[in-house]
Amino acid sequence: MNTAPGSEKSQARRSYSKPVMKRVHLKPEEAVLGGCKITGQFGPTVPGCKPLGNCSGLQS
Amino acid sequence: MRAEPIRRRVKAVAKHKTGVAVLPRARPGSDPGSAFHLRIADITVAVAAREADLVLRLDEATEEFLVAPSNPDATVAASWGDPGGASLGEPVFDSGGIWKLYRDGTRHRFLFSSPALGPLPYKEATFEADFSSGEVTLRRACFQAAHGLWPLEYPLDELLLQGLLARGRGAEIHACGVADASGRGLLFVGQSGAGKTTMARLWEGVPGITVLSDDRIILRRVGSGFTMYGTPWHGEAALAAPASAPLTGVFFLEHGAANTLVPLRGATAAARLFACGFPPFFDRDGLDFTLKFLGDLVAEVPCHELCFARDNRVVEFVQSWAGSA
Repeated sequence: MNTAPGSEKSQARRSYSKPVMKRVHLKPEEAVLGGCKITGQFGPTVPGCKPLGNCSGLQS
Repeated sequence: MRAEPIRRRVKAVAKHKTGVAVLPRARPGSDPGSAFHLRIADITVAVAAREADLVLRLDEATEEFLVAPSNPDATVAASWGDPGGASLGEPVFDSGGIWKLYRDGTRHRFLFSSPALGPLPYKEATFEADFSSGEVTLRRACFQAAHGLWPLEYPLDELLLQGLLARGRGAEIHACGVADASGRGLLFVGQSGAGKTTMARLWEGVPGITVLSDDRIILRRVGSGFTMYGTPWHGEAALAAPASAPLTGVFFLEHGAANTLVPLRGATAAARLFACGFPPFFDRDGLDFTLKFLGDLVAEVPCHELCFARDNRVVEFVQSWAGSA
């Protein structure tokens, strides 16, 4: 009996599984650079977040 | 809050460098006009002031990333002036915070404003299309120049690296990075509150361990694998080391009652890594590269969701996995 071309490949295929939507949470206030997590404010003279380059209050 | 000054923390980290590449460091010359050369993730940026009364000063964490003058990937010249004074070009992106991005031909122009400093912009940074050179213009009235200042003050330093990385170099991730005693790089990824600082503190002080950063790690392809690098942009634990390690495992942090690992693959891992990255949302080509880069990375490096119980048993748990990987 002849085998249809490609049938062995077909048998080796994985069974179909329905695609599932998965949501991944993205926080824009963290993904966009520039926030200060201590105050939630922005700017180089935000109290408690100065100087910014040395700030322990960056988004983390 | 920081428990102690950054310098002490960084020095403490520097003691534990077994099996980890530590980048060469140098202080800038005594000439006030000389450039500062920073090397972060093997990307060198030279920053110089055009005027003698614009004195450059680094914060302590960034100072650890100074290197001897070498061929830079990007050069930045800083000067006093009138930020935003000329036509800025087409508006591209509003951060919702202190900066906005404009496109002037092929050049990127970042404009920085803060209500605390009045209605006028306090800083402008213009970069060529590939971020290989740029100029920073500072409004003199907004700065206490006598104490010195850093033209690339956050977030401009990260924006510049973001631009350079997105041009085929790599990606920055919101993560704690640890190099174990065998030099294996372990990446603990998570958004605010996920446990990065907790993880960094659990690993800190373990013999032979280097915490590369408790908050920001840069990933790059090196040879046939991926390498993770410490950055100056630390978190609450104030851990920042100018060192690197080959990336061995990626762990997405979750709090749990016990320590467990669940393998993650493909799109799920890539999406979770992307969500904890700092991609250039305003740059189509840069986003394309970043997505491809992260897709390649999760296809080659084992990724897991790590539930951990916030005590030091997780260190042994992860080390056990790394030893068998």
